[in-house]
Amino acid sequence: MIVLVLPDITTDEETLARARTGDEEAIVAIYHRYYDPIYQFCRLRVGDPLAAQDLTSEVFVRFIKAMKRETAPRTSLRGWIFRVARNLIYDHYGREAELPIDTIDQWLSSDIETDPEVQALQSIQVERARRAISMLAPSQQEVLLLRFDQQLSLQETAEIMGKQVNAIKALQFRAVNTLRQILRDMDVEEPTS
Amino acid sequence: MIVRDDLVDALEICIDRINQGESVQTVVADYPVFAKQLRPMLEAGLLLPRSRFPADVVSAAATQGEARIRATVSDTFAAGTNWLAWGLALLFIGAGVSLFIFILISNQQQSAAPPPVLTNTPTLTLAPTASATLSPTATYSPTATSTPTVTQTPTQSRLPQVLPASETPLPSRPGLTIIEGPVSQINGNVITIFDREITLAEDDPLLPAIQLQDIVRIESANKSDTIEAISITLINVTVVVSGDQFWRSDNCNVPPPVWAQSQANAWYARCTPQRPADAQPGGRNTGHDDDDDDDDD
Repeated sequence: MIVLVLPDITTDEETLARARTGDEEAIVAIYHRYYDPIYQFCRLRVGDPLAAQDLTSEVFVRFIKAMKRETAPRTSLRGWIFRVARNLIYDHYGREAELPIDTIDQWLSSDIETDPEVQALQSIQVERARRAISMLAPSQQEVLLLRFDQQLSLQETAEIMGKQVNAIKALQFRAVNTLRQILRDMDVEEPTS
Repeated sequence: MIVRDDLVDALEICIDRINQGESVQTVVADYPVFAKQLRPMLEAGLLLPRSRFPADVVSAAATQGEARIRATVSDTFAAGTNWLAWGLALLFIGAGVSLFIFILISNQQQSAAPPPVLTNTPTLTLAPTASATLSPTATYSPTATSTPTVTQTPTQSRLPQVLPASETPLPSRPGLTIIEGPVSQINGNVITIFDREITLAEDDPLLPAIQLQDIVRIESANKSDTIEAISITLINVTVVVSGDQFWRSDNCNVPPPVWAQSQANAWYARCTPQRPADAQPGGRNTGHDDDDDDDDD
């Protein structure tokens, strides 16, 4: 399983302080630090690789302009960037856009596994996950992506999705529970063993 | 479905702990009551992080976008620096212009202030000796006094002035020069002060009364080659002029004539033990023997 290394908050603040003064290297460092999670987030939502690339770049362009206007966040940079990405996606594809199936099909298993049997099993599990996730409501897909995939906190997820923390907590529960039920139903219909 | 709040909370805590690196087994063990429900939910959720877009695709996209980011940084912050520089420049220019206008207005107000030059209208006097009457005399107080005792002769085209002692010399005005000093030479209607020749009007009634070493204050107009006096004030002696006659207060042996007695308070105070009662206008001694605070010596 891939383990995302969360940005160090202290380093973030120092880099952010430098970036606010127009330090190009600091801004580029932030760009590289957050490009991957933002791209992954956008790519899952919009499907098209080029559109995801453009959206991700636009997120950072807005970040730079916000730094200039001093409207950029002084803390929780990660939450702020994800919120901008989400708003851009909504502007382009609407709020109710579901995860495109073809996008999900492009997911790859990150685990490096040499055992062919284990590889085959993982491949089946990933396929199940893709199909199960695509059956969730868009808000449920989003909360799972933010909480499990991007490993954002409940508070950050709430800020990004513009909801109360308790609402996110309940949404998260429904999403996980629904996903479990879908997987269980799949097991009944297509037993893997 | 009825969901217990503590199950929802337990799921939330478990997700956080798993995100921090703990295993499903470990976190579920802390919630034995909900273990059968939590385990499949967490395992379902953990299917997501296993699925990622290829790192090389993401890395290539990041590299392609970096140039745009650097260009945006340069454009955004370079433009901002220019605006800041322009803003500061405008601020300084504005401050300079404001200062210039302020100084200009202040100078104009000073220039516009009426100079204490006597006109043909008799000036008021505070002293009872204010024979600022129509008596055709002109008096020069030895020093500036707070009670101008100046009268005028209607025939004079230029009148002397008396400045209150407390006043500082007149500020210079464009084309106007004030010279004060001892008279070192008299040549007709030209007197010399500090090696500067000053031309007085030939019919100036004070001209005959001016003597060498008199301290004279002259306000003059600058001409191209000469200095012409506009107003004359004798500082160290009181001079009273009546027609062709004049009387100076600096000689105790020369008492003031009748027409000068009203202006001779200082002379009486200095040269006589007691001033004649009739020397005061109206025959009253007001006690203001010497209203000026000068040094009549």
